[in-house]
Amino acid sequence: MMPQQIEADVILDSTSSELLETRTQAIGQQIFESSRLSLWNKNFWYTKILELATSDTLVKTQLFRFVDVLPVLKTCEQKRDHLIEYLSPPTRATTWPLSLKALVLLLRVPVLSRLIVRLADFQVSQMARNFIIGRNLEETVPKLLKSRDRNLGFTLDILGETVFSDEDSEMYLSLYKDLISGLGDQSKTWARNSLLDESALGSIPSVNISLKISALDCRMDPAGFESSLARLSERIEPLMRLAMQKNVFINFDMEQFSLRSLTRELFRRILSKNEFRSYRHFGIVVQAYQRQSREDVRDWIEFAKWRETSFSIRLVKGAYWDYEVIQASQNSWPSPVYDHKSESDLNYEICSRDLLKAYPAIELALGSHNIRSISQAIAYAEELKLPQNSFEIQMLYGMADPFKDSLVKKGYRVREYDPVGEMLPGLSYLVRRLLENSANDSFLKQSFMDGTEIRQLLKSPKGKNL
Amino acid sequence: MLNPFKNEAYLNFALADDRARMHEALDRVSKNFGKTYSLHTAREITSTSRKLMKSVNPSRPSQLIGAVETATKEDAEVALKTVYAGAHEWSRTPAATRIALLEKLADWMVEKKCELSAIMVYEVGKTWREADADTCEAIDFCRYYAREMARLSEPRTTQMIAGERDTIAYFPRGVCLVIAPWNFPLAILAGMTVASLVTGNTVIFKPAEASVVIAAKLAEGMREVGFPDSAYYFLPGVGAEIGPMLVNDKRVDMIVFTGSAEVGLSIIESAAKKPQPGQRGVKKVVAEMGGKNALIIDEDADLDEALMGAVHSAFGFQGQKCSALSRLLVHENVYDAFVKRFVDAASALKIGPADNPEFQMGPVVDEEAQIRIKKTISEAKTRLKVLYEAKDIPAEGYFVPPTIFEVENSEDPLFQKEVFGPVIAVKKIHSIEEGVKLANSVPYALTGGVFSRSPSRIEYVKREMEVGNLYINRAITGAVVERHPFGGFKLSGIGSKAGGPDYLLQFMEPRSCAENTVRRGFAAADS
Repeated sequence: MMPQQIEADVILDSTSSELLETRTQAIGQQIFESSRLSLWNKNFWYTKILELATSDTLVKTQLFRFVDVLPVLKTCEQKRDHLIEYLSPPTRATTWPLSLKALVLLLRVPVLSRLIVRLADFQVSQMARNFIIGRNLEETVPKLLKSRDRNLGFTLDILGETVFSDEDSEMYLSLYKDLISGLGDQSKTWARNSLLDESALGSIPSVNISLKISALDCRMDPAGFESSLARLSERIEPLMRLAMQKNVFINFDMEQFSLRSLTRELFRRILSKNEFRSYRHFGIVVQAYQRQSREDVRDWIEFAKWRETSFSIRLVKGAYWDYEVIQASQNSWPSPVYDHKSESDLNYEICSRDLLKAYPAIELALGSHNIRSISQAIAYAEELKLPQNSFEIQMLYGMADPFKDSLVKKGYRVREYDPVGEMLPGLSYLVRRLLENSANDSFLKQSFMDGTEIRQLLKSPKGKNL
Repeated sequence: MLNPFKNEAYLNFALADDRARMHEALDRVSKNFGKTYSLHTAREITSTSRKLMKSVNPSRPSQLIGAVETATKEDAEVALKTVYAGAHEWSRTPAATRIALLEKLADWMVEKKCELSAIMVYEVGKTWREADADTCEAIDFCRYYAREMARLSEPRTTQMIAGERDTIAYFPRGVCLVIAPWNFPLAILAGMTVASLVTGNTVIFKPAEASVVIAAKLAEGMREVGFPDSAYYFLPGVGAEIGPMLVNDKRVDMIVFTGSAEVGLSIIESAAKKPQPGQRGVKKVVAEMGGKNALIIDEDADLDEALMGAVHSAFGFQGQKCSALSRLLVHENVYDAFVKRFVDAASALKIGPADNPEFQMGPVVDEEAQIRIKKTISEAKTRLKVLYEAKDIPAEGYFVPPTIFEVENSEDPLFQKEVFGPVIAVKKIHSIEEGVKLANSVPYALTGGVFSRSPSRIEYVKREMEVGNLYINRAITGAVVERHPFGGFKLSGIGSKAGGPDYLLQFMEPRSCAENTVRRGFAAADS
């Protein structure tokens, strides 16, 4: 392949210095050294599946497609038939793992098939449990408390099916309501944890909820911009009011590009209103893989200064890359996201510096598992002489645990993003995590599975070949 | 010469700029309502001796969109004379010139994209996205057929053999008659018309009565970019009055039709008659007719995706697409869950004037359609169980309630006959085989699809489902030029697919030529 140029607007990176780079490397080294890397994952089958999946893209497709369909299958026969179909070599395959071929043979033996199906079923739900904290609140709360004892904060995310009716969105609305008021009340009895419940600007809520706007309105459509906003405001404002009463943090998650402008405008309008203007504990997401994310950052800084009360921004790279690229291609649109991961990585660093510079107007949450990205931000915060708890680090439940512990030990505030939900939506979440963890450019895969050298992992994205 | 074909980009309403463009165009177009356009070249006129054909907004029938002169039989005769006289010259115009005109027309449409879409929003009740997709498809047809003609315009060598040059080349048929529907009033009309022209035929195009203003805009574009007056003739008129005489006229060599099976079959029948004296030969007919399209929901389908696909296919443009979903075949193991959510999703759709993007559904095209669909619904109610019928329907305008019926007997008319409206028959199936069998049990074979995650069942459907356009794990409407060549068989049509590589061949006569290159034992150098 021809070497490609990094996009000009990404390379425009004036604030970074050599000193910063040296410091970034040093911090990254320390985080790695104090992480116990052997703890990749205790689940044998999970590791096995990832290993198989990364060996061959066709195998990966078949395995993940099976995991994807499994939760809707009810009878043992259905499950067996699908297992046989997906584990048999497709016609396009030239080679096929022996282990899978053998499994197919065993599946054809009636006595064994029942056993294998049950095992597969059990293992897949175990795998899902690695990434989903609980099916409901009862299951979840004890785990949250245990995490708090480990000095890990949380933000809860409700997993669910797509919303098609008012009934569906009412259901989510009441779930969120229960979550805010139920947890808000319970949290008053929780032991205070000064690492988690305090930022440099003062105390922060121990209950933190991540809100998906798309779950609250089945007719949400950017074409009908104003009417969508009106309906959404009507539904979300009571939630935010409740959150203020109960001292709960509300974060607006960012989903597909098509909903970006609506989500942003909704957040901006609500936070501008007098009744919400003086509450600090609201947040929104900026996705660094978006080509427009630098504008987002600029806009939010300006807005925060106007508002005169800080709010939070969770800076992530973005989880809908494939989807965005496909949408753009099928509609003949320019892609809204960077083509290469290293461009997103570099842009992430630039955005994080701009946001740190905006402190205390904005409190930054670094949503990433990439230790290079995090170290760079930490190094820059040090350069700016910001207090250690002027920002926080957020990572997904069930991922990168060694890093979390290491960062906690170093005195940073770490928050886990905890999905709560049933098997059906849970498994599509699992498939996304599997895809992420088996991708060749995954930082975690390189760190824990491939044994890539730490120096290589910590290299600046600027110097990376595209 | 021509850059590679690329589909025109849809507007992206997630962007403030594109939203603003659409709002601005709707506003501007609404201030220009009420103009009258002439026959032939669609010039704006202020007075005429002819009767006017008026086009109103189906969302607000008191609002006049515009009018055109109504062609009489005498006008039709003039039109025939004009394009018959022009045929010789146009057929000998270099293909490159004709191709360049299509490119110019595409550019003209790109420039007026939002305006054209806005006209369709008002004239036929398309929602923003549906109207925009229509305009983009029209642009795609121009660009795609231009490139197809570039490919087909050079004689092709059939075989290399010593002493002979053997080629096949395509020649225009002569005069084409295009009879277009109102449901894709720009895309289908433009597609059929520019296909006729780029292949070197002259053309009379008769738009549907409900969509004459957008058709006049197309004629205006053709005039502005420089198609010669004698190559095309815009001829709006009452189908019953001028249709038969045009179809039967000896000067017409080809009829390109999209519309109902009833009219299509009668055209095919008339065209098949023994040629009259002075007629060049047997008339060629390309007819795209109806559909009774089924979507199968298998027991292992991703129900979120299936719902999205089903709702979009069933209710987009109020079900008035040839490709629209009208039969939902749901596996018994997911029947209750899926059908409940389908009904809930249908009840979440808001119905109102199409220009307001707050509404997901607009009106049906005219009063006649409204009456016909309502009658179908009330008759079906006497036989079938109603699962859902929308209640919140505006009183003004040609609105009909989206309605869902449960069908047990597959012989029921609602399961067999095209409704062309937002009326859906849902039927429980016990296996994928039964689903395919039922899907195939109708006279039509246009679009269809399945949501399944079993590779073997997907293969089965690919093999056994009788449809021109099969869609797997996605909506069954929204064919894109070049990507999804479109058209069906059985009673859904004759002729090959629009927007596909065989389409233009139908507009031409292939001639092969064998030229001896040997003179007195001396073979010419191959050149």
